[in-house]
Amino acid sequence: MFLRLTVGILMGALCTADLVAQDKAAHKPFNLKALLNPSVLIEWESAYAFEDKEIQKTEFIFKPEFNIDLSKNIRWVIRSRMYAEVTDRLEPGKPGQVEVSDLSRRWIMGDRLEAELREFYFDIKIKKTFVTIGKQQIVWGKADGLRIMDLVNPFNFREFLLDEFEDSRIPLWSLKADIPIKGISAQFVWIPDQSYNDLPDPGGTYAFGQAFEGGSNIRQNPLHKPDRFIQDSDIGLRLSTFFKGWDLTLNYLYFYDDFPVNFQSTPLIDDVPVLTISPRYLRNHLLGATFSNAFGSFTLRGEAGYQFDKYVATNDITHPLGVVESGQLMAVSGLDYSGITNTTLSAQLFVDWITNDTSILGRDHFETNMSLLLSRNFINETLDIDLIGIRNINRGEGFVQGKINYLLKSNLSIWLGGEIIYGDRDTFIGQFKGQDRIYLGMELGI
Amino acid sequence: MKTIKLIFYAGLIGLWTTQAFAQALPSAKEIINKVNARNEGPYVTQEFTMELTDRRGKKQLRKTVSYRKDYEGQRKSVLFFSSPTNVKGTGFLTFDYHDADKDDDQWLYLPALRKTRRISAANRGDYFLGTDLTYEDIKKGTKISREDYTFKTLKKEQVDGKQCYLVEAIPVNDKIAKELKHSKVHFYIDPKTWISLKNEYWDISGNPLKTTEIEALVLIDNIWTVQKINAVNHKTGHRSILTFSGSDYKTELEDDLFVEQTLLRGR
Repeated sequence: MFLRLTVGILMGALCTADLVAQDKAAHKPFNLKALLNPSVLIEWESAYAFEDKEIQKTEFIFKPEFNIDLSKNIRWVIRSRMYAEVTDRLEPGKPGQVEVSDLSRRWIMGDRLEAELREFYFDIKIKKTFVTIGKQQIVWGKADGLRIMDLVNPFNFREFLLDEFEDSRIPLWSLKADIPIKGISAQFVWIPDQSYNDLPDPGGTYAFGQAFEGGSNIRQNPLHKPDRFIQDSDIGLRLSTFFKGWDLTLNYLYFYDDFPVNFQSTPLIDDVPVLTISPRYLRNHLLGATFSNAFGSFTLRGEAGYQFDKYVATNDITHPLGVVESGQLMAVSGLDYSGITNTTLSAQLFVDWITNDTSILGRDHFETNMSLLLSRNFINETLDIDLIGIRNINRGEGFVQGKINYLLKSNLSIWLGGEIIYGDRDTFIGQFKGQDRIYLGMELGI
Repeated sequence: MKTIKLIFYAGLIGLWTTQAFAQALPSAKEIINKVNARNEGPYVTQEFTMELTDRRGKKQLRKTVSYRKDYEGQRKSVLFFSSPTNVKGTGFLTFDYHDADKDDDQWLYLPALRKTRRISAANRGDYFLGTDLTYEDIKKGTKISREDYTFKTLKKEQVDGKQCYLVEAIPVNDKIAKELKHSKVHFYIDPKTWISLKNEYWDISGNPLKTTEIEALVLIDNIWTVQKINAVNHKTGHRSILTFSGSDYKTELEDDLFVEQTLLRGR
């Protein structure tokens, strides 16, 4: 991997040198700024958690970006991020990042400071084909807030589901090629980067399972990760077209599920049964489709995906594996309404069906989630108000997010927001109900 | 008897004058047809800067690059924001169909979501990204929708020293008026270029809404090209100055510039 990164950097450097030479040959003054096309975003955000009555986080983020046009058809994009979190509560100490491949890991420079090469790719146009190669984000799907098709890249759950997806999605070393074939665009993706969801270590504010206190007779084996460059890589194909006003895609992904499957066993150790958890990543197939179209002031959009080999935890502690294999069908339909000036209303209905009819499932076979979004802007779009609610109907859990953003200048904005999380503490979202918070932030673009 | 003759001749003169004036003023239909027949070239690349100023003098500056290409029965255009940094990469793609009964198709790419969203084209009277021009204004450019209005030529009037035809446009029905969010427009059309140099709008209640004026117009590759638009909203005091540069009618644009994948690439 390091060899490939080095080759990539050398390629970029050579092309850049070529551009400089071209400028010299054309007797044009060399303009480094025009070549690098640099920009920087500087952010600050602090959050106060009500239950703990303390500052939950104070983060400073520095995001430099370069878009270098090496030729008319080749662009080199570099995005990095320096991140400092002063309170050290979201990820106390140095995060282990065991789920992430060596080359995609953040560079941890202490308990409170880290740097990350977020994206590093070449965007190349070869005749009618667009090829993107390098570290990048590949996003599929039409849904907001919950993910059915957006499974190509894993996520960092440092702030659970509450952070911007753009910031929490983990870019991967991958290749993407969009090839037009008679009115259809075929997108092929190849992802040799074996990185998976980065889950917070125990002690983190949003660490999973802290509400479920385990007994002393529980042992966790090390995480079993795939490590073969070719054989364990993910591949995908998306066919998209625009037909009679409809945006349609058909998607297939052969991938490792980004959440490990926690197999359980109960060996006797010193004649005492010890519940042993052995987490490992397993292969899955995803087949799905998406659609969207506009009708007057309404936009209809949706997606559906079927996972062939999903593993679901059981509620039977005597089950030899603790998980059962099943198909999983997930679908979402969303309707956006923009008939009120400067306002968008959006509602989504998600359904999630575990097709295995076993009676020992640790969840309902059929689950429903819904989301509502209200977004309105004022004063020539200098003031935005967003209100989002997501609720799982079966478990009665969910969260509500509100945010007011004000543009002080073209490149300077401030915001105030907050979240309320509700549900039982033994549920997926409800486990964080104590983390209701209010936050204040600022972003400067240069 | 003399009085009767005087009235008769006065009547004749009046009739002649009215007919002569009417002959001097072409019909609104003729004027609007000439506006819409004006050559804009089959494709164009332009950069434009938006300077937005609120009533307290607070300014915002945004820079964009736009591309437009005409096809049989439709016009495709795409616009990318190049600055400020927090909106950089935002892309807006439109398929504008000549068939008035067919809704346009529009997509918005937001870099923060990394997704292209299909958006409704029905709200054409909404303001475009915080400017004082509506989506309809941006889409139509210097053209005027024939289907949306009934027109009437009122008189000749000077705008910046140029004799223009003042054409009044009234939306054909309440539904269109609500969509466009105005009840009347006065177009001041320059017969030399067949471009409206000044547009005055009245809101649904009949109050002055906004005025847009073209402050610079140049001939590039034999095509009259707008260089600067000044739009003032009389209700909010907000002002938008749009400055166009780098207009290129010669470089042919490839079809794959107007597809979703290009929105994601940001160029």
